[in-house]
Amino acid sequence: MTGDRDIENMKGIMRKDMREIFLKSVLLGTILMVILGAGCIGKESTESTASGVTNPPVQNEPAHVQDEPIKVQEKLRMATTTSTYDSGLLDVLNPVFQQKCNCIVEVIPKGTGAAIQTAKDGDADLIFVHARGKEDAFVNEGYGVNRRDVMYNDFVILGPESDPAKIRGMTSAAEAFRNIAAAGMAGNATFFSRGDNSGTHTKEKAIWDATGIVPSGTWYNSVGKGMGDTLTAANEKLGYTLADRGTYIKWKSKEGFELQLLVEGPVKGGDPILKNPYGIIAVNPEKYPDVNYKLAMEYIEFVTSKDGQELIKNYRVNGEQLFFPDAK
Amino acid sequence: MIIRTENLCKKFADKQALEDVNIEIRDGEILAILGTSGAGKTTLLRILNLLERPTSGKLYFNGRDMDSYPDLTPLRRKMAMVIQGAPVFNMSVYDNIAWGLRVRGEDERLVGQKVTEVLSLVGLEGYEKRNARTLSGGEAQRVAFAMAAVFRPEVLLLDEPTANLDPITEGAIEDIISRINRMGITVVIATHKQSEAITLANRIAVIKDGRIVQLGTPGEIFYKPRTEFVARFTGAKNIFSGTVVRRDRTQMVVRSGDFDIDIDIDASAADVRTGDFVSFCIRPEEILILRQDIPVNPRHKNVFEGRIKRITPYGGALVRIHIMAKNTLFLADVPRHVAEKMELVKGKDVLFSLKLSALKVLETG
Amino acid sequence: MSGSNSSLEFLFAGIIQAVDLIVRMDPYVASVTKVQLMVSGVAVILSAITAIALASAISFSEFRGKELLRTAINTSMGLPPVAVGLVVFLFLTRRGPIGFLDLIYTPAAMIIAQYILATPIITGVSITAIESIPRKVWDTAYTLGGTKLDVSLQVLKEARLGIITAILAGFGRAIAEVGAILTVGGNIVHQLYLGGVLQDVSYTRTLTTAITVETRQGNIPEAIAFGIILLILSFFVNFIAMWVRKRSVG
Repeated sequence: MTGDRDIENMKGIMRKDMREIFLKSVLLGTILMVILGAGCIGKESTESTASGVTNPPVQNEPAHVQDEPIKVQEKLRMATTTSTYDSGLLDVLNPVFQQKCNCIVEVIPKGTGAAIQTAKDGDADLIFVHARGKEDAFVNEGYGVNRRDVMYNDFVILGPESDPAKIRGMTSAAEAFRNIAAAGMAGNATFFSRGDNSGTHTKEKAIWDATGIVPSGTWYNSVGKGMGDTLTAANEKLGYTLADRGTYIKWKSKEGFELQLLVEGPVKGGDPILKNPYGIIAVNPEKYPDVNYKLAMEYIEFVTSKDGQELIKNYRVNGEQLFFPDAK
Repeated sequence: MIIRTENLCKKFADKQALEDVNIEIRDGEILAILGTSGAGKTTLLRILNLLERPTSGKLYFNGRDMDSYPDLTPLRRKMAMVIQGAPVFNMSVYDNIAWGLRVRGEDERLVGQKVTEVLSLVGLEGYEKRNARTLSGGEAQRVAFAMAAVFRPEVLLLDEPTANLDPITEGAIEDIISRINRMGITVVIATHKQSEAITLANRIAVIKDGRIVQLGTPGEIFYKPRTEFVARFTGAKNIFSGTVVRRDRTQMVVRSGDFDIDIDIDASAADVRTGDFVSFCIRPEEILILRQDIPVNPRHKNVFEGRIKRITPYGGALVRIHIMAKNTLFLADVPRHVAEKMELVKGKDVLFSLKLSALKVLETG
Repeated sequence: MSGSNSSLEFLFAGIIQAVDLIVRMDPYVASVTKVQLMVSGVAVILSAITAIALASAISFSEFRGKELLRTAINTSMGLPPVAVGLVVFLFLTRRGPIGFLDLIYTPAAMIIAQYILATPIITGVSITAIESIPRKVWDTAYTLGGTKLDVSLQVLKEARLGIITAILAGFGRAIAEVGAILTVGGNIVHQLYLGGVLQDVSYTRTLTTAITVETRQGNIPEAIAFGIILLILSFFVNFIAMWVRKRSVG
């Protein structure tokens, strides 16, 4: 009897729990919606203030008041790689350009492969990426026009201090990779690949091609994620990996980051194959007539101009220059 | 196995369930614990079955204090209880019945044989493969009996074995209980049905508010109720009270309202003195309605005159005659054919007598 | 831009390629599915063993701190996977307390994370299942001569359908989870020669993490294929759960 009553009580409690959970989730949902709603309203209001600042409504000129707020600022959609975005370089370049052309630059940061795909889908006006082969294909397939070199930095090969593949100080990236593969096969080393069709991944594959080795085996780990995730994994497993210098500079001072720079890139006199050139390409207006081709061309003009190149040259992270002007 | 309790008490958080229960369960008998719901029947069974510990008091098995057993499992395995509502496991009838054998480590070859035997005892031949949860109430009750009887416990405790069953199934179950008892198994039945107690039991313990108020043979309980409660509960409908006006060694006269009633003195009334206020009772079947064509012997005592107020059927073969005499209502049970022959109808004036030996003085309280 | 027609075409093309990947048992897709089933399966088996033991301890015995344990289990039923992933990561990382075991970015790490996620659910639901068995059934087992162990086993048996439902709920949570295994598993695939062909073979990549990365990389057919398999799996689990529930009622 008491047992049955206990069960009834328990069911009651369960129901109460359910109710509580339900109420809580409804409450949480509402709060989230309110926050999101507020965010949208906030955004709208800042936008309207922004246009208000640039075009202050003047009371005794009613014609202007009618006209000006309706005029929408032109927008440039730029698909770019995470490395340019995360490095903070665009935060220096874009404000200058925006002021110059009175427009808004909307940045879509993705891996190089995905960035190019975005532009192929017609969802960007401009790509700013680093994977020469893919860039050329993009132009050859008719998606892009007017490719220009902008700048370069380089890749470096990182690995554990113990360096089981003995690549420290090597001047040939392919040679270093060959050693890593040999050590990997022997079970003494691991390699971590981005495996995400990014610029870094594309470069890595180019180096493997140069070695003539197809990396295979459990020592070769493909992460399928960004540079940060790949560095975390390589660091945890004390494996080798290829990284762009910019990310490496940011990571090398992190607590617990133990990987070391073992093979230099061309910036510090290393193997030219590790050069990491950044190109910029406008999306072909014949393919997608609604792209903002004019603004895209203005942006290309700007970053390859003397002013733009100067900004790139002077950009520093932790006191180190990340990008080297390369416009011809 | 003989079980004896000594000043057994059980207290739950909100109530005293049992108080000073002293009872002995004899080898081979059927003992009925008769009481209304909430009287403590189930609690008593559970304590006897070691499902529950008493708050205080002693429990002896074959004269040995329960607390002196280092391990109660062997003791528990000599008993079984069929819990009210016949809970069965969600498995086949076979596995249900085999359960008690298997926990006792019975040889699996013997299990099948014993299950078959006990199934025929409870009249469920061929039910082995049925899921026990899909059975009707009566079938489930039979399975519950089989689950307990299969390992031949020395004592079988039954909690309301026929509650919620139709009369025919009730009869069948009572039959099974007798058969189990004839196998030499002591049976203790907790029930609220007097009929069941009187049909099955060798002895009846009437329990009220956690106390055993009377323990005796069915005859003693029904015809010599000790208290007003037992009298009422066992159906002694005519309960009166009055002052003793006269007594001698064998008889006394009690003045109750307008009546002087003569009562034989037996052990229960031994201490009654003249001037005492007493309660007494008589069962309806002990009131005789006299034939009017035969003159009443004037030496006959306790013959009164009254008028029939109402006649109600009572249990098929009997009718209950409600007689009003000097503002006092008497109930008399008469065989239906007798009532018809005597032409007893509402409004008729009749003479009736109370058998002196059937009048019982009750303890107060 | 692209009209609705071409977006539909895009979707259909993706689905057709995805179905093709599944039907011809693409080694990469198959290996990811295998890792998912292996990780979630092992995690749930271990969870089920722990959970049944825990639920039994809580339901069948009295000990100090029992209510605290019960509260802990109930509150852990909704642990956010990402947080669990972080905690497991912090323990398993090379600098962590058990980093020397070198378990981070291995299937074992993912099993640990899913084990932590599934155990409270299976335990909690199992306790409910056990405690929904009427007291009378316990008493019957006891009075028929069962020892405490016999009684407990019988009650567990009576609660079996509820416990199976609990395990399925745990498995459902495990296969749907992405946050924890992405953090501790690292989403790694190996390149291996299978039958002379170089293939991506999952090491710690599961259906859920694969969907995340394939979508991000624009590999829509693969993403859809994984999505279809995951849906089939979760439908299957729910179907069994429903069937069990129906049986327990009938």
